[in-house]
Amino acid sequence: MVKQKMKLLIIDDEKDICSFMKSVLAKRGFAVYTAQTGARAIPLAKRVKPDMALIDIHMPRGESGIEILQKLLKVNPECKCIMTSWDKTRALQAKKLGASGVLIKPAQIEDLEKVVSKAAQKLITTRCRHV
Amino acid sequence: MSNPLPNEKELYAKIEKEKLKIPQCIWELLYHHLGNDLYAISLIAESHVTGQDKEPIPVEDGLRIISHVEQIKELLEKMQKLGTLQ
Repeated sequence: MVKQKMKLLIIDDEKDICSFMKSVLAKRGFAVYTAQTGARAIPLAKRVKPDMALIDIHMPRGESGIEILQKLLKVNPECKCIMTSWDKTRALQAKKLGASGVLIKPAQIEDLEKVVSKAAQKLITTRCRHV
Repeated sequence: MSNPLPNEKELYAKIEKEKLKIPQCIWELLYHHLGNDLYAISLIAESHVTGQDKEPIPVEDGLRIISHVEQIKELLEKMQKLGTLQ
């Protein structure tokens, strides 16, 4: 049986954040995709159907992270979305709109791994219940 | 790590006592620019020096760190010009 990698989409306007998060999480066995705007993220999400997404709340170009979260959950309701921000209040507000978790910046790699593992675990538990 | 200012305790006490607030527009800029640059620096450095594959930071990534530091400097200079930092 071929074991499929979990797919994770990183949405952040900062190129280096996308690329280094990608390198960290790819080493942990995820298939990682990145997008720097909502306009790129949503078509990509429709195509690859990510299991999880890390979404920056403060996106300066086009849609905000909150708008991206809402669109992403419409096209892919099962996707576990983790909101990233320096602003804890805003990140927690996003949880009420369907986000599964929050990552407060600047987070250490250990925190990033923890929040992603937790979301992956939730996803596995949900899928096991439906089998 | 930066050393505390000699009057740092007094400064915090003044902020608390006078309920000094940073306007929302300044917070937005600080959160976005300073926040992203600092987070990028931290991710670049951490991805090399922590975990199982500890390694020296390659020159290319050292240059990326310097570029983020330059952007922080530019932001502070802009703020200074606008008179938000005295």
